[in-house]
Parts: sequence; structure tokens; C-alpha cells
Amino acid sequence: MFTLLSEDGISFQAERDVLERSVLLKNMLEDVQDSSNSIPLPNVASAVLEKVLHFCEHHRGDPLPVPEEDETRMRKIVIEDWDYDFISANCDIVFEIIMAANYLDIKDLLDLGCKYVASLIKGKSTEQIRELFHIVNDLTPEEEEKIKKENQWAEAV
Amino acid sequence: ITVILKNVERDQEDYETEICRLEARVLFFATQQERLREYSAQIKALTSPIRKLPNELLGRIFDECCEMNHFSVKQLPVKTACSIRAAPAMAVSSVCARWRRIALSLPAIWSRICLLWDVKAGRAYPEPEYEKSHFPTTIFLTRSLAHPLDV
Repeated sequence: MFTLLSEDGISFQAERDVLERSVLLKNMLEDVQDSSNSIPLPNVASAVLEKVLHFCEHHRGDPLPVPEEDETRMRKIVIEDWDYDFISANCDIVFEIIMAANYLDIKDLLDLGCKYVASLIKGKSTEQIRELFHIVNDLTPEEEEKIKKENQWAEAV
Repeated sequence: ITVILKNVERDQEDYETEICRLEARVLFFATQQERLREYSAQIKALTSPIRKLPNELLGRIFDECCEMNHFSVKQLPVKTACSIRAAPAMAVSSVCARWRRIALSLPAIWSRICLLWDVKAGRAYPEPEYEKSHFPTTIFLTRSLAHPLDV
């Protein structure tokens, strides 16, 4: 068992095969012989680390995702049932989970987070996206005019 | 009677003055409320979690949500080609300055186009109408740069 230390000083214990879902931790563990020392994770809060470890434990033993080479593949947002339940139950910290997955280099969790947020955006109008994420429209009048011209063919709904 | 009438007219004037004063107050409060609404939106925007995402991750999300951009030309002259909701690349690139910059730097999201062309053949249409019907396609093709198309 190895111990992880979150940025707010909370310790979490996990086995090697769980931690190795993270490329960053896998590389770190190769250099760590003594498991009594805790591994500090200064960029991950305990609330987020707990969820990340939950995800990794569920997927322990799954084949690691391979990097995508085909940029032209047909995109489709498909999320497995357990993964969807997991991410939607933690939707209030989904961006923190994405950031942690990016920092720890956990490809399948990063994919899941990005796909979930993409599914929230898809099918929404510009104004609905602004409302959803509390984004202020800071476009210049020139940009606004250009966008208006670009979108003249579309229904503003 | 003259005195009574004078009093009534004076009362009417008083009410008129009071109504004007209250209307001015309502306008003042409505303006203040609108200002606070804008201020609140700006504060919320500052703390919005999506702001924390670096451009690279936001771009990745755009790539996922822009799996296909649908638009159709059903008749000429074109009045409505489709809803902007069906063309996510257009929607995300119109949200704010940062999102626009990121979206325009991603040729891939502009390279996926589904075009429904349902216009009667053999009929001559004025050139501007054809240009208008091709407008969205032209934007997408220009922004997809050298990225392979998925049509």
C-alpha cells in the first residue's frame, strides 16, 4: 500500500495497481522503493483525490487507453453507465476532476470529464452556454457584428 | 364651487407630480437592479470553474462536442438554414472572446460538416441567393484549413 497526501494534508492509501492508472504516479512509484513515505500531491484537494481514487479503483485491471492517432475518426460522445453515474454524481467538481486527471495523467478519467462537459454544451445555443457556465459576453462590438453576420443563416434559438 | 374645483385641480396636480416622482424612482431602481445583475454576472464569471481550465483542455472539450455540424438548405431564397444548436462550432465560437480564440484555432471542429441540400434542380436562382446558401459552408471550409474533412 502507498500513501498519497492531498494539498490540504489528508492522507489516502491505495494499492500499486490502482495508482498506476495515473502515468505520473506510475513513474513516481518506479523510483519509490519504500512505501512508508507518503507521496505529496500539491495540486489535488482531498475531496477531488478521493473521487479520483474511487474511479481508479473501479477501473483497476482495465487495459490502459492507448493514445489516439487518428485525428479524423468519427467523434461520438459515448459514456459507459458506471462512468456516467460517477461523473454526473460529482458534476459540482467536474472541472477539478478534469484538472486532477490532467495533472496526474489519467487518460480515461480526462476523457470522461471532457466528454461529460461536451455533452452539457452540445445542443445548446450560445446564450444557454453562457448561462450554464456563468460566462460573461466580453466580445467587442466588431466581433459581435462579425458573428451576427456569420450566423445570419441560422435561427437564433 | 369655484373653490372646490380649484382644490380638486390642485389635488390632481399633486397626484400627477407624485406619479412622476414615483416613476422616476422606479426607473432609478430598475437601472440599479440591472447594474447589480450585470455586476453579479461578472462576479459569478470570475469564480466560474470552467475559467480554471487551460486552453488545451477547453479545446479538447470543444473537439468532443463538435462531433458534427449540421445545416441544411431546403429552399431558395434561404431564410433559415438551421438552428445554431445543430452547429456546435458556431455556438461555442460565439460565447466569449477566449472561447472564440480557442475555437478559431482548432481546424478539426470546423472540418465536420453534415449538409442537407434539398433545392429543386434545374431552376435558375439569382447569384446572391446561391452565395447566401453557401455562406456557412464557406466559413467551415475556410476555418478547417488543411484538416481532412468529414462531410
